[in-house]
Amino acid sequence: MTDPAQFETFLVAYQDMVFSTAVRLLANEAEAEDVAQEVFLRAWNHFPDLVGSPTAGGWLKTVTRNLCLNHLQRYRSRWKMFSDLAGEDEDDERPLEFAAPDTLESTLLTNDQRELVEQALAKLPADQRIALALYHFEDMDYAEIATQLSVSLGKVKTDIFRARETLRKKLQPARDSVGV
Amino acid sequence: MNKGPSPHDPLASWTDQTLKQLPPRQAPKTLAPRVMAVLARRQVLPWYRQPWFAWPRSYQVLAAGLAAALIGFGLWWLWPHSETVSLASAKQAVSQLEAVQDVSVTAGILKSLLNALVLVLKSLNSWVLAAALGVFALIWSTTLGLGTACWRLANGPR
Repeated sequence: MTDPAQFETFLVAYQDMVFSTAVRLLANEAEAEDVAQEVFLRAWNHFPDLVGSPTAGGWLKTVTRNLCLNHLQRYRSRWKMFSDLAGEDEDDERPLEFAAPDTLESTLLTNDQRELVEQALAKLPADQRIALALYHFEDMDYAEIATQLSVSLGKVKTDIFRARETLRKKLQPARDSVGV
Repeated sequence: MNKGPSPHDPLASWTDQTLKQLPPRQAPKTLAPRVMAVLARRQVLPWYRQPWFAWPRSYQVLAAGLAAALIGFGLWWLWPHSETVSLASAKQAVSQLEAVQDVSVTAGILKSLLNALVLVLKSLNSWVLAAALGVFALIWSTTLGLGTACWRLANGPR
C-alpha cells in the first residue's frame, strides 16, 4: 500500500522537472499542469516500483513526453492551424530585448535573459518548438524525433534549423557577442 | 539519443548552450495539492469504482480472465450456432406472443415482424449472417468512434 506522505515527497521532488518538460513541449501552462497531474497519477499506480529507483526520473520524463506528444497528436489539426496562423505575422515581430553581455564569459544567462529565452521558445511555431525541444532538452536524435512525430527526417531537420534561426534572430545581440 | 550538436555548427552549438542553461520551470503551487486531492478522492472510493489499474492485483487477474471468458463464450455462442439460436429465440418469442396476445393490433404487428424475421433468417446462410454481424460491428464501432471524437472535441482542452 502506497504511503501518501511518501508519495507527496516524491511528487515535490520531481514536479519541476515534469512540469518543465511538459510546458516546453506544449507551450501552455494550464495544459502542462494537466499533463503533469496525469503523469503523477500514473506514477502513483507504479509507485512501489518507482520509489528509490534510480530510473524514476527517466520514467517520469518518458511518460511526460509521451503524454505531451499524444496530447499534441490528438489536437494536431487544431494546433497546426493556429500555429500556421500565428506564423504568418511572425516576421513582423521585433526582436526581444536581449542585452548583449559584456564579455564572452558572461554568455552565462542572467535570470532576465533566461526568461526571455523561455518566451522566445514559447513563441516558436508548434512544429519547430516541439522538434527543437525534443532535440535539445530530451536529447533525441533527428530519426527518433521523426518517428515520434510521424514526419519525415527532412521536415525535422528543417524545423529545427528554422527554430534555431528564429531564436538567433530574436536573441540577436547575445548571439553576436559569442561570434555565431 | 543524440550526440549533441556538431562543433562545426556554431548556431546549433549556441542554441544547445543557451537552452541547456535554462533551469527547470517551477511547477505551479497548485499541482501537488491537485494531485493529492485526486488521490484522496480515489482512495475513499470502493475498489470497483477506482480505475482498473488501481484494483488489487488478484482482482485485476480475475477481471481479465472473466472478460476473456465472456468474450470467448460470446464468440462461440454467436459463431457456430448463430442461425439455430436466433431461429429458436425468434420462434419462442412468437409462441410467447401468441400466448399473451388479446388480438391486439400491436401484438399482431409484432408477430408479423417476427415471422418476417424468421423467414429472412431461414433464407440466409451463416456467411451472410457473419457478414451482417461484421457490418453491424463496423457501424457500432464507427458510431462509438465518432461519438468519442465529438466528445473530445467539445470537452477537450482549449
